Amino acid sequence: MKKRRYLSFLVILSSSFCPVSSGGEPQVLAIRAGKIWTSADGVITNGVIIINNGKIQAVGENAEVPEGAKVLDMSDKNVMPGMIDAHCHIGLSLDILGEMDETVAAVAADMQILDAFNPQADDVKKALRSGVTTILLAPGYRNPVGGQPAVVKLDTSKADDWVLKRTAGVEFSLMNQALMFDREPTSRAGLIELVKEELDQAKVEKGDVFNLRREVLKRVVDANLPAYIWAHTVDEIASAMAIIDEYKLNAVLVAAGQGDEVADMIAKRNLPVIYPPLLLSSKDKDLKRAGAMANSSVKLAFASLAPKTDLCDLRTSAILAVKYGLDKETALKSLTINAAEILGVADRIGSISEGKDADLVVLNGDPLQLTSSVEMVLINGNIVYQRQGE
Amino acid sequence: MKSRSHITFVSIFLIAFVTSSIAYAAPVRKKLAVEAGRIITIAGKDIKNGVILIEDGTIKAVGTDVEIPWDAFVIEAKDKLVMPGFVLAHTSDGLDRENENLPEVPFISTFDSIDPISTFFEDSLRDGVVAMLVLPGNNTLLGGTGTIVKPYGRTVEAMLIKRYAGLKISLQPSRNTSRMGHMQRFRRYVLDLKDYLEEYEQRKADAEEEKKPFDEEIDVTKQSMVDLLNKKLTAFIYCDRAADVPKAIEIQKTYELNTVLVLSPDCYKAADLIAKSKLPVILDPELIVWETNEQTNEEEMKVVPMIFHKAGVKFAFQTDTSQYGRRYLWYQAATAVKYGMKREEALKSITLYPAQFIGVENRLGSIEMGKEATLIFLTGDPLDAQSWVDQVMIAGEIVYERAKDERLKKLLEPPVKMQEPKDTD
Amino acid sequence: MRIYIILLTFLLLVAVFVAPVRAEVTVVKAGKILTISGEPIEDGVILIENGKITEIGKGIEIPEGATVIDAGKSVVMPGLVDASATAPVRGDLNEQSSEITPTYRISDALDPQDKTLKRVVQTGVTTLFVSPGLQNVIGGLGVVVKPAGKIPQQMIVKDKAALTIVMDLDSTEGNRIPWREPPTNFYYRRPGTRMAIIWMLRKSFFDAQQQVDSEQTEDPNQAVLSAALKDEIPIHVNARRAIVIRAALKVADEYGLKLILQECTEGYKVAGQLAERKIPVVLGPFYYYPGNMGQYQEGRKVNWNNAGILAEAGVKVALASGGQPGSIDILTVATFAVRHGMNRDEALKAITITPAEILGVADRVGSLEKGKDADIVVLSGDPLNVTTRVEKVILNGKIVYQQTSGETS
Repeated sequence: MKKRRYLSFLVILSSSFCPVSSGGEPQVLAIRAGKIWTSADGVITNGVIIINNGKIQAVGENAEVPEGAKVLDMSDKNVMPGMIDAHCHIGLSLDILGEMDETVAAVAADMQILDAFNPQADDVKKALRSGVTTILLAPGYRNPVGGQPAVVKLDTSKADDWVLKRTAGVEFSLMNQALMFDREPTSRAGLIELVKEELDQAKVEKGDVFNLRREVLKRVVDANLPAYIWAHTVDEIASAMAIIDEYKLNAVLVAAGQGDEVADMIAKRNLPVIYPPLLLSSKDKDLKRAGAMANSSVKLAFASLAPKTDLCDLRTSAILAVKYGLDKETALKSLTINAAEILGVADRIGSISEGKDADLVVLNGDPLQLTSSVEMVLINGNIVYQRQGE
Repeated sequence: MKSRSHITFVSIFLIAFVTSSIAYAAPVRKKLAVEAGRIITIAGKDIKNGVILIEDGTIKAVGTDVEIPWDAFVIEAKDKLVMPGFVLAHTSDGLDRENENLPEVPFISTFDSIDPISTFFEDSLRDGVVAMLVLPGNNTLLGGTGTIVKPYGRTVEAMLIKRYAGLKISLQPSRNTSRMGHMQRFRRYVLDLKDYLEEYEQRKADAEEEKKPFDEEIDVTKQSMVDLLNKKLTAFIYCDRAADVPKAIEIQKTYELNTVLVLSPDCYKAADLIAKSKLPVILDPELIVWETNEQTNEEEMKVVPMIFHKAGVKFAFQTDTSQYGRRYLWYQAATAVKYGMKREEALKSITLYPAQFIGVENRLGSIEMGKEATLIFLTGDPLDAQSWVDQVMIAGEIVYERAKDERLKKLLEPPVKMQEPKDTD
Repeated sequence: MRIYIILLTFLLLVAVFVAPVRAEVTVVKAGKILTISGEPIEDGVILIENGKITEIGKGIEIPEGATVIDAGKSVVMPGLVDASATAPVRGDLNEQSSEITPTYRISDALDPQDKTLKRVVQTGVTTLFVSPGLQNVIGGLGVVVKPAGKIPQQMIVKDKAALTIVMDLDSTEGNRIPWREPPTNFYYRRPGTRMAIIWMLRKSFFDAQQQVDSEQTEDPNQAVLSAALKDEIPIHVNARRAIVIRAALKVADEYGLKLILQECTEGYKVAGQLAERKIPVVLGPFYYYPGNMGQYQEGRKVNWNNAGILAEAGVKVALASGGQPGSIDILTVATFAVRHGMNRDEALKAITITPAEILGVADRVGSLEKGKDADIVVLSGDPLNVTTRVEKVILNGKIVYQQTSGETS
């Protein structure tokens, strides 16, 4: 008698200690959706996405729903891959604008931005609600040689899985914002000299003294680690290309807003571009540039650069770009798979394909319509956001 | 006895000699004839190899077949070009400070602060300017009254052409006021003034009725504004931005003032409005404006005199010492000609028109019978940068000669006693 | 029979497609051509191919299919060369963190989108020298550019064209009194006197000289200075007062340097010495009176005829606009130089071939000669006339500016 009660007590006790995934979702999830924008195989109408253990098991018009699966009926909704913000500085809570730039020293290559990230911050939640599931968390543009960006998912409940890349590269800035009046460099000539000097020093093998900064820059110079280079105006982009050519770097241009004017040169070098946000306040002339660049075969990904800019909804960038000449398919790719490829995480995210993580966004309309809203966001198959009320 | 009459005779002779020599040493001669290779009259066609007859400082005749009286002193200028001296219709140079601190000071006058020793006047004479209206600056609502002077004379009195000329009004808000406040201030001032005048007239009428003597004069601080309202003074209204122009026109219409507009470069945007109002205009020394097109971010060049010229506005030029060229009135005219303005019109804009705007056209601005013999002798065409002012004549008197200009010599010739030290290292 | 038809068609096709494509030829006809290198040509013709002048003279046959630019009665002269121009760069011209920065290249800061370039082209300037800022004792390397091209690299005619040295008191400007700022801020160690400036200069050259002697050139700073010592890079010294000019001559003597003087406001006082040492001079900006001199009013005595006096003494004089925003165009500079006493032909040379020679680009620009770049300015009249207007500007054979129909509104 006592033993049975004790056993059942143990069973109850142990079950209460069972690791409960957030939301307490069942193992297999099936989402029926009116339109699935896969970013890989086009658009599927009235399809199903089968999610198992956080991964996409199957997707298609006639995908078979296994028994016991929980079915989410989204047949009047649109589903797209979780959006990737290819460059932002959210979650750096304390002093929002101060945390992203280490401005005391001009060179901060050994610093890792991930060390300052707070996943519980309000702006992280805001990004999630807008449908962004993964970001490139990056340092700012005020250091000629900055810190190391990281690729992270915005849901941190699965403790070990949310950092996709701790060191995604090294940030460089060739913009005038990297010039400061009380710290070198104060001039563009000085800026270029400084960057070249750092790269030159990294090439030289210097004995056994371990220098973290040189270590990581050496990886950049050996083209093992990408250089994320901030360059906005045509002359900045030209400077960037000159350095990329000279040191044979593996590089990505960040915020290359005026890149359309030298798009052929960018395309020739296969340089991808992380595009700065298009805002409703931008000039017509600038809003046309994204489309022009993509038409010249430059690979684009969108970024919010939040909180440096007012863009709180990454989708708006894509919508405005489409309005001013970018084609819809490229726009959606630029929000999803292009970014994943540029950041080197396309094996896991960026499209709704078999085997990839189940990072999805459910909208109540066409994703490229301003009037559509995000209703639900899933990361690794878990519902991390659901819109309340109407 | 004989010695005394000797002394008397000698002293009388000496006195006669001295007085007569003084008379002959006097620089102003009664009759003059200028023989010039070329005469630009401004009033009519240019004259080649002409003569200008001058008597008592006034032009008696000008032409090719003018008979020179036997007692006229002939000035040979067959290799020179003679034209009317330049007139500067508005300047705030030559003062110690351009503006007073208080916004409403119409009772002060530039007469009291003109500095005859200022290099501005010396340079002006050297550059052929013979008359300028010196007005207060652009930072005071009611800045004060102006003075017309010639840039020649040791004292302001000696320089004086006209003592009480023009009243400066500036529509540029001063000292943290907004344009609303600034305009309202002006209206209030005029309203208060009108109230004051009404009461004054009332008191005057009462005194007349009661057959009492009335010797009250108008408050001295208000006199100049009263004269402005009675059209005895011309208002020179400065517009800082194109938006100020309709306000200036409104003031002119409401109070029926004689008005000349003094414009900043931005006011070219109001050219059509100004053309309709038919008000004369004095341009800013800055004649070229670069406007950035907001959409394309490209710059567009605007040539201000041409915009006004095409709109049919009559204008005069100003100068300033900030740049090359711009310090000379002839350069301003030449710039306008460069961009398409007709030569004759451009030359009028530095002679006759400014003279008209400031009210001295009966004396200056052109070479015509009856006007003052105030002329400049140039070594070549006025719009040619290689021409120099060789001599300046004011009312028949030669007051400037380049050959005797010591300062100019110092500026152009190599240092005379320069002994370059040998390096001892 | 058929074979012959096929062969014929084949040959025709070959002739059409394989025959050498004729190069595009542009022709400029003008009432008067001022070549600067020789006598003016009346009713002359200039043939241009691939951006270069291939023929110039009277009665030259115009090839078929050529693009003809008929300048009518206008006057044509070489594109102007401004040896001290407003810099089309972004950001600070000066690297404030150190006052000896010989390796810094101003070409890294060039901005082809700079607004001043459009204005500069309209004044007829087709080649400009851009110098690093004047706030460092040794500022860095200047560059000769043309106002054309999408990216900075396309603008460059000659990089590392000169090393800029400033011996006047400009470098003391950056000093700041420590107040609420950390004393480690680099603004506090700038030189404060002319003694210090000249000491820094001497030390830099001394160290470089040692390197040259010992054949070591590891330090990039020393590498540039060594090259300057060996006359591989021309040295431009910015000096205004006579006393500073004399100091520059002393340093030059000590290290056997070949100098070019910039600005040289009081150059007329030492004209003889400059002529003797064959030191060329780039004058600009022009000041009327001490009151209009800008910041450094340490008693500079202006002579309006500085250019004329120097030229007459035998000094090579270039007239430049002076590199300040709002500077007057160099045609007006030349016009006024003649007014104040300079010889006409010297003045025209001073804005074309002389600066080209000083900058080391005379093989390409500065005069209208066979083989040189087709940089041409078309004027409505005599260049040294204030009422003359720039009608067209041709750069590398292409029209880059054309005046709008005489009116602007």
